[in-house]
Order: sequence, then C-alpha cells, then structure tokens
Amino acid sequence: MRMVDVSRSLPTGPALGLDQLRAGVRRVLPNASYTAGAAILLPVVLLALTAPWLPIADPLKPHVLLSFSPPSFAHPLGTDKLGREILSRTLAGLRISLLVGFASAALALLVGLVVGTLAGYLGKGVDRAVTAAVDVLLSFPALLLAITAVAVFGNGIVQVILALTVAGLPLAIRLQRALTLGLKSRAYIDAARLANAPAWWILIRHVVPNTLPPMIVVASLHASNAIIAEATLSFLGLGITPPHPSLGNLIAEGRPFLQDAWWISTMPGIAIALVSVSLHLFSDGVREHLDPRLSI
Amino acid sequence: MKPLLRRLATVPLTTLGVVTLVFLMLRLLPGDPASFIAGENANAQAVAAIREKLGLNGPILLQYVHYVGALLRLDLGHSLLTGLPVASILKQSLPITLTLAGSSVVLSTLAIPLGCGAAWFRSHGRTALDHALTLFALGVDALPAFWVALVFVLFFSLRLGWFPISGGLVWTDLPSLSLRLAMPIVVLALAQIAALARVTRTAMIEALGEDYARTARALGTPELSLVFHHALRNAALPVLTVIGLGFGRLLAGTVLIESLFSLPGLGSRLLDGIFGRDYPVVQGAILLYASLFIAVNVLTDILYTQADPRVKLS
Amino acid sequence: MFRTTEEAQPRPVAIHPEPLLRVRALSVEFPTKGAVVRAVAGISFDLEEGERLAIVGESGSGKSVMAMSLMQLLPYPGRVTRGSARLDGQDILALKGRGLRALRGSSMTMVFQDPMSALNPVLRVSEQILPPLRRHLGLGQGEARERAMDVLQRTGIPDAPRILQTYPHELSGGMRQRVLLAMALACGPRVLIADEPTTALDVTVQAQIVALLKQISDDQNTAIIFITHDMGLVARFAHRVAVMYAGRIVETGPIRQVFSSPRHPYTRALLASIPAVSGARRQRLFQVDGSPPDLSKPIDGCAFAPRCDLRTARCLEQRPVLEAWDPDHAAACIENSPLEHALSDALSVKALARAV
Repeated sequence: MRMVDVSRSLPTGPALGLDQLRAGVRRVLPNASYTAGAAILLPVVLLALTAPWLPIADPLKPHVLLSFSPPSFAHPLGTDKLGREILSRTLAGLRISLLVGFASAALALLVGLVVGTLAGYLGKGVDRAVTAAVDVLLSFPALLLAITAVAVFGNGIVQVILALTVAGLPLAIRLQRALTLGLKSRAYIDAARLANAPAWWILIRHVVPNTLPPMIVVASLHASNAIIAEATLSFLGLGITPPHPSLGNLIAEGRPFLQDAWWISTMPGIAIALVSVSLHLFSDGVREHLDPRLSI
Repeated sequence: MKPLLRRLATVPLTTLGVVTLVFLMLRLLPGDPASFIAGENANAQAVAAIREKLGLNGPILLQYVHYVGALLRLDLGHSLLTGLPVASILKQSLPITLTLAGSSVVLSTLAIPLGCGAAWFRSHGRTALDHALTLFALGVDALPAFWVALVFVLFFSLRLGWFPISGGLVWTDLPSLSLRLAMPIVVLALAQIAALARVTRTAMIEALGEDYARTARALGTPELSLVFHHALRNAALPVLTVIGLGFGRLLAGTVLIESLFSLPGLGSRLLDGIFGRDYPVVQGAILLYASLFIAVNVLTDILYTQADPRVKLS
Repeated sequence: MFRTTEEAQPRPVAIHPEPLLRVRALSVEFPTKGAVVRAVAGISFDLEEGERLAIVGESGSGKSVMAMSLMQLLPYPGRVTRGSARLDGQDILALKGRGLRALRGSSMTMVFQDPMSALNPVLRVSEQILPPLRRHLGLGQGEARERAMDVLQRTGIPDAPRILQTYPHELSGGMRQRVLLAMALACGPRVLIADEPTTALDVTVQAQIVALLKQISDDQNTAIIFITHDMGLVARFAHRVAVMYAGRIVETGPIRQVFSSPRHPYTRALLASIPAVSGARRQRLFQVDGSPPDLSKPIDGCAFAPRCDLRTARCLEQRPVLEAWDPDHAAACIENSPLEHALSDALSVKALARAV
C-alpha cells in the first residue's frame, strides 16, 4: 500500500544484471559482515546437514531413565524431560529450520518471478488484479499472515513452508513487478520486440536475468526472516509440533524447567541466536555488496 | 485535498479484499470445514449444528453476502466454545493490545534522537559513539524477539523478581499495571528501536551532508536547530516508512508477547481460537488486526505529505 | 585587449590604516587515511571595506576551501593549520560557539555554487530567511518579515510576499540564487563571500546576478569576495583580482592592470583561454597542457612549472614568492620577476646608450 514509487528507487537495466552478478561472485570476500556471517553460518549448517550420519543419539528416541541429565561428556548438551539427547534434537531442529527457511524463500522467489514478471510486462488488467491482490496481502503484518495460513493449512512441515511462502509472496511479487516495469522501457527490449521475438523469449532471455540479483538479495533476506518466523511459530505451538524437533518448540518445551533444567531451552536458544545473528550479518553483507540502495 | 481523498478511496476496496480473504479462510480448511472443526469423534448431528452456526449452508455467494452484511452490523459471529458474541470478547481484549502496541511505538521513538546523535557525531569525526550504536542495533536486530523476551523473563522476573509475569490486569492500579506491562512493552519496542535507529542514522548522515545544511550553518544556525529542525525534516520519509512498516511487526509481535507474558489481549484470543478451533474468534481477531494495520498505513501516508511537501500522493 | 567600458571608472577605495579583512599565511589541510592534502598553502590578502575582490583559479586551486575556512565551514577532516584572518581586528579563526554563530550570517556571510541544493526542500522560504534575521537582529516576527520582503525585493524578486510562502522546488534556478543572496544579505553583512554563485545558472542570468551583486556592494558598502574560474565574468565587476594556483596566490592586483599586463604565466594562460567574441572565426581555443598537481604530495619549487613554457631548472627547485611590480600589483614567478625585468631593461638601456 505504499504510495511512494518503489521502481524509481531501484536501479534497473544492464548495470544490475548478469555482469554485476559475475563481478560480485568474483569478489567473494568483500566485507566484514559477509565473512563474519559466513564464518559462523557455514560450520553450523554443515553440522546440521550431516547430523543424521554423525555418531549421536536419535533425536526422537526417548530414554526415560536418562531424563533431565545435565550437560556432561556422555550427553554434551544434556537431555530433556523424556531423556532425548538435546544435541541431536537441536541439530535436527536446526536442519528443519534451515529446510523450511530456504524452501519457502525459494518458492516465494519462483512464484514472485513468474507473477511479478507477468504483471509488470503484461500490464493493464493483469497488473491491476495482481496489484490489488498483493495490496490485500500486504494489509496483514507478515507474521500474522503466516499465523493465519497455519490456522488454515494446519500443522506440519509442508504446511509451514507454504505458510511462510504466502507471507513472503507480496514483497517478491512487488519487487519483481517494479523491476520488470523498469526494464520494459529499456532500449534492448524494444529492439527485441521489433525483431519479432516472442514475449516469453524476451522475458526469459532479457527481463528475468536482469532482475535476478536484487531478487536473490531479497530471497536471502526472506530466508533469514523465515527461519526466525518458523522458530517463533513453533515456539507458540503452531506449525511444527512435538515430537518433531524445531528450534522454537525445543525452547518452548524447556520453558517450564528454566530454573532447574536450564539446558533444555538454553542450548537450542544459543543455536538459534547463532543462526540468526550470522544470517543477519551474511545477508547484510550480501545486500551491501550487491546493492546498497535496497536497505529498508 | 484531492490526492488525500483518492488515497482514502482505496481503503474500502482493500478492506473488502481482506474481508473476502478472511471469509475464504474458513472455506479453505482441509476437507469439510465443519467436520474438521468438530473433530474426529463428533457425530453427524454435531457436525450439522456447527455447519449451521458457521453459516456454511447454501450457495457460497449467499454465504458471502450474509457474512459481509453481518460485518457491517459489527456482528462477528459467536464463539463456538463459549457461545458468547465474538465482538464483545474481542472488545474486552482490545485495550490491552492497543496499550502494548501504542506504548511500544512511543518508546521506540527514542531511537530517533539516538540515530540523530550517532549521525551528528559521525559527521564531526567522533566515530566512537556511532560505532557503539551501530553494533548495539545490529545485535538487537539480529536476535529473535521471543529469545530476547525469554532472556528478559529469565533475568528480570525469575532471577531478580522485579517484574511479575502472571496475574490479572487492574487498570485502575497504575503502579502494578506498569510493573506488569513494563517488560512486554520494552521487549516489543527493542527490535523497533534497533531498526529505527539505524535508518534514522543513515538518513541523517545524508541530510547533514547536504548543501542546505551548509547554508544554514553559514547563516549562524545553532547545531541543535540544524539537526532537529533542518535535517530531521528531510530524513522524515525513510523514518516514517520504517515506523509504519515496524507497526506491522509490532502488531504481529503482540501475539507472541501476550502469549509469553500471559496477557489477555487480542493476540491471546487469536491463539486460543486457533488451538481450540474456534474459527469465528480467529476470523474476528484477524479482521481486527488487519483493520488496525490498514488504518496505520493510511495515517503514515498522510504523514508523508505533511513531512515532505514534494510528496504528492499519486 | 579589453576595451574600457562606457561605465564610470571604478570607485576609488579608501585605504584605512587597517583593512576590513586581513588574511595572513592561511594554510588548510585535509588529513585523510592515505595522505595529507594541502589544499591551501600560505595565502595572504587584504580586503577593504566595500571592495570587490575576485579570486580566480581552476578547480582544485583551493579557492573554495580558502573561503570556507574563513567561516570555519570546512567539512571534516579539513582544518586550518597555520595563519590568521582578522575581521575588523577580530581573529575570526579563533571564534567558537556563540561568537562564531554571531559572526556567520551577520558580519560575514557566504553563498555557494549550486542554488538547486542549497535551499532546504522541506521548508518554505520564510522558514529559512526569517530565523537568522530574528536571531541576529533581535527582530520580532512582523519586523523580520518586513525586512525580509525588503531584502527580497532588492535582490530583484518581484512579489516578495508570495515567494516567502513558496517551497524551493517551486522556484527557478535564478530565483533560488536571488533568494539565497537575500538570505545572506538580510542582516547587512560587512563581507559577502560568493563561491561561484553563477556557475550553475544560465548565461543571461549569470550577468544579472553579477550586476545585482555590484549594485548591492555599491549601495550597502558590502565587501565582496567573488570566487570564480571565469576571468571574463568579473572583468567589469571586481576592483582587484587574486589568481590562485595549487593552493597559492600567484598574482594579485587591480583588475584592469592584471588584465592588461599579466605578469604570471598562469594568469596569461587564463586570459588567453577566454574565447574572443571578435577576431578570426576559426580560432582554436587556447588551453594549457597538463593538469594541476597532486596536492597530497609536497611540491618542490613552483607548482606551475611543469606546465609553464618559461620554466627553467631553477623553477623546479626554488619556491617563487610574490614580488611587487607596482605598489598594488604582485606576482610570484622566478623567471618573470620585477628584478629580472628591471635588469633586462637596464641592460637594454645600456645597450641602447652604447649604441647611441
């Protein structure tokens, strides 16, 4: 619903296209944020991804006799109320959080690319319909949209991914639409049109590649927000529910025991803080690097 | 005047869209909404009763008309669990949420002088304060709200015992009310302060470096007036944008905070409704939240024009 | 080269024992991460009451930096490292806080180059012109308004009441510059520094603004330092001119004299590069080869030497100082110095005498 024209504040055209992307990739270590974020993030992600193959306990298997064991050599992060290993659960939860975050970001990117390009390029009725729909979606704060979606879709990983995708769609569509509008008037598009190139070819060959860099920046921001949103949702009891571990519901599970068995909440808490901070640093760095004007 | 009216004219259309979405919400539930709500063990009679109560019978267009009509009469239906009118349930919970959100917005405006200060110091070469602020903002911004809230609860409530985290709210007892609401308000405002301070700082650094700042200085304008009268007015647009966007996050945040701090506000009602499958309450709460957000957006757009005479609502 | 105009002769300027503005050995540096840029290196000049001094030089010569340093408006990290500036005997470089703010806008003011960005876009003209008036002269709202309208009218703005209510983006470039001038002159300053006030304007408007400045200077007895890269623009405007190169003054004198007999090679080059309206149609525009020196590195000898066709080995070693050709006219050149000239004159007189 912002009446300030977004397209004017965004750079468009070849300057922001494939060339810049290539140049950016070449200069892979550009600034402190980026490297600090990546330095923390990569080992954590690696650990989470390889967890199923690591010699640690099954995150779902209860050992009631071992419940509430504090952190020790045998149980590095302690065990929870059912004797499940916190370390494994945290890693499993991390894996799920990462999966949800990146999946929803990728999905929102894809849908945003398609719908936004169509709306921007075809204009008129299509554009007006899309803009109206996006405006309606934007009348909800993002997290509320996700909560609503979960209320409708129900609990579960797929449902959460869909819910977070819906929450991230408005921005992706809007951005892609603005970028496409900006590109539409460029000379090389006119040239292609004059050469009788079919619309879909123009879109795929000329328009979309040039909109990718800012869209990817926004997608990375979305991923980072989605991971936190998922944790918030599962903390509230929505989305991914026990026994399936998620960083949010792990913390929530440990809440009643904060005084005595502090490690149940604290460990996943540290994990999410690490992930969140490093993602922020990383995406800040990426954003500064590719386009400083996109900071809102 | 005219652009303002045109802006206001978009509100009914968008609101209708929101209403339609909420209407569809119920009908998008997996399978048959009524049996989903009734649960696995309900018999056919119970399911039919629910269907009747939720107005799911008859052609969908008719249902829609009924729904919109009811809304215009401010009739949000009845709770499936308690039978009470949703409108009155939510009316009771609204003041708490509004107090939370409103107080947080006010508190978060502290960020503006912080950002101005950081920018001023930086433009005069004293970067220590500027760096400190940036680091602080980055740190707070990066941590999830519920995490920060839990840390606060752990430290200030459980360890130090300064603030209670349970108990009813007595509106007339201001001291106890403040104690009860202090932490929730601070936690809500914290994320906002970080983002707002950063944006203010960036916008002010730019404004203070502009030629008109130099002109004002060349005419002997005192620094205080320069920063808060000449420069801040120019930084108003991005600052307002962030406050507006932030209000959305604030509203969503009330759901989390009310749950964490056991406050019986709109957010708690929403969550209770979702867990209890009390969809009329869920729909009503979501409609209220969206309406608040729409209202704030319009207000922000109006403030835009007041802040910068070059902005014309298109 | 320049025809005397049909206007009256320049107003004779009274010489008081102490000039209105006295600048001595002013040096300004910008310490950056890499190196220290010496933007101004030892500038000295005097300005009498009501006198119009033109400071001419190309970009990077340090003229703007010098002007800003007088009012302590240097952007961070610039600072004055040496020298003094006295206005009416008062050391203006030592002023701080209230004293400095009292100076700015009332005794000494400045207008800058780009009128498009020099006005605050979110404030009306009245909100920008009235506060300094009220602050410096202690006027009430109504009195300040009266005075503001008066000043606006004198800078050639018709319909002052309406203009007071407008926002800058509603005004043209020329109008904005007039508003800026009005703001600067509203409190009746002794010295006005105009830093390339016409560069961003149309040619016709340029002439108008220069004429306006001249008139105001005459009427109000305001001294003006007019900074420009365009010698021709100030030919009929200024009483004196100081030519700057690489942070130093290389020549200074009454404008007619400097124009008719320039003593420094750089001055000659500047004059030669003014396109002649009359003369051969297909003339190539004269330009000087090379570019100004890097001010972050110390300069040995004469800064202009690398681009000068009079240069000798001496020029690259010895720093030239300003030497007087006439009581008022001085130039800093080693090859072309009054002494050499006198010597060569004497030699040729001798030769003549011997021949006779």
